[in-house]
Amino acid sequence: MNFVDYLFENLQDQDKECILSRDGALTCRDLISQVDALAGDLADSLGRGKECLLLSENTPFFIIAYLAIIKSGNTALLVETQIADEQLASIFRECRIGAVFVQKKYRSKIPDAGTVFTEDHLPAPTPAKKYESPAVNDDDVAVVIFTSGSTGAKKGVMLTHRNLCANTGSIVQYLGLTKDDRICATLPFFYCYGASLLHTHLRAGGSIVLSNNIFLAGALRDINTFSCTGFAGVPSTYQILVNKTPFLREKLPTLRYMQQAGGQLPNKYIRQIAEAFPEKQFFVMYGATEATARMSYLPPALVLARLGSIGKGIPGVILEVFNENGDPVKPGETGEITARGNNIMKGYYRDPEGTQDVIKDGRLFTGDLATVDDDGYIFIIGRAKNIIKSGGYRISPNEIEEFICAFDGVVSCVVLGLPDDIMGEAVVAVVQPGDVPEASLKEKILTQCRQHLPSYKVPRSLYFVKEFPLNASDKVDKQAIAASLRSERQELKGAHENE
Amino acid sequence: MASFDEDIIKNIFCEVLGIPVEEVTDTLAYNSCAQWDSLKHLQMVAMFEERFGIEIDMDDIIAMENYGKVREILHKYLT
Repeated sequence: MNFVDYLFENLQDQDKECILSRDGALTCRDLISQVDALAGDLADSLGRGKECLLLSENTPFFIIAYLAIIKSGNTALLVETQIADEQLASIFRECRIGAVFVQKKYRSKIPDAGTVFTEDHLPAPTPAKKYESPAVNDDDVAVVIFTSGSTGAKKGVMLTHRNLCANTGSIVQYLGLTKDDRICATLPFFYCYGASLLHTHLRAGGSIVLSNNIFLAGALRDINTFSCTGFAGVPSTYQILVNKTPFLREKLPTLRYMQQAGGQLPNKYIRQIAEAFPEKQFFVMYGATEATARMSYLPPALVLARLGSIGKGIPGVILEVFNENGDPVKPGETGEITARGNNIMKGYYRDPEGTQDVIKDGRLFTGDLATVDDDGYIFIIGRAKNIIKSGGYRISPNEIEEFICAFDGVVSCVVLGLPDDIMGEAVVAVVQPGDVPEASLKEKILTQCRQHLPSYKVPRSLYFVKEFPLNASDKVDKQAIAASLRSERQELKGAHENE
Repeated sequence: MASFDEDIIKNIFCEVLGIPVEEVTDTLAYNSCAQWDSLKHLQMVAMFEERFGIEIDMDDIIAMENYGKVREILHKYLT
């Protein structure tokens, strides 16, 4: 079944406003008519089975283009709006892009050649004749989401109609979403977590508020203005809300539940939020783009009793922690989280070897290390993959290391993530300098990083060291560097507190 | 608390957004500037607070939607 047909399969009220923002609202009827008209145009001009790049913030334009691409039997390629020009160029080289949909604000990022659509090209909502989607195979690729891999190159995660239908249905079920639910969406739809908000609320017949604010505190206003019942965030979302806004003192009377995924929110924040809003449900969840979006959730009633657990597999997903021998771990033992289910991706785009590394016998090996308790609840204890999660972004240290190492006066560089109250993890660079003044080198590196890297990849702090500690295999020991930086920061904090 | 200095504000914009000073005009706005995202906004706010020794109210952080408003709001704190 075409994923878009699945989303609207149970739609009852065509006149319901399903997409809302401070700029206005879109009814289901208008949304579907625009999607149909654009899908028809695409089918006429492109045919089907082509790849269409989509580069936009959360706007009605994104939603209409996204659904029309998929409905017409083509594949939507999703990239982040802050993508570096070089990475975008490599996607243009590697993919066979038939058309580009780009928000005008980002038009200059796209080469002039080829077919380019912006908001100005959207068909008006008219009661045009309904567009019947072509028959698709459930295993046809509907979406490719480009995400940072551990080597720094973008990996395209191929998700099929089957993947998207399965994960959407499962999330609707465990969150108990109905047509009365309205989500305040601050997370970008070009990532799997944000996309899951769009998918699940359309499927449930609910509604989505596009909460695009310069500062997250604006989302608190949106929740009240639009009477939202749900809110979703990554760790940094909640950390910014707790530390920088009156969030914990808010009443948010219409809010039924909050959901959190996209990395581990430190327990102290989970506790603060659960205690501040005892009458609301707080869902701690776990996922990966390779699993469409979601793999596990912790029932809200257990959020304090099993503090820090990611829970168990969601309906339709078998989540197991395997030890080195490939056997399920015993309670307390450490292993790698693996998952099976219809939500597991078809593979990485044009990367069969990379796909084989993570999917074996239909089982996804997540690279996340975990243990289980006596009742089977899973607790993540680390990541085997070398990825920093900061401000909701997945960041490969390699790419930043290479950028910094290219400077004259830099001998070597290590980039790592340290716990941060706002960002979840903060990007920190440690540089071994050559024979140059440290102060000017530091300024030069940080200025260049700010000019050439997306903001979330710019190191928050930069330290100099004479030598890097090495581990047993003579590799730079990142763990040791991280430990020594953490203890330095602790001392600094202690010193301030004693002042 | 430091005194109001527009050059410092402009420099912070150039440094964080990676744009030349000629582009920092009153019409430079969050909605139309591709480089200005919510993370860079937080970064600039943190730098204003640090350089000027002030703490900016939540409502003002939300209201700083273009350069003209940023200048106007910081002027209020620094005079």
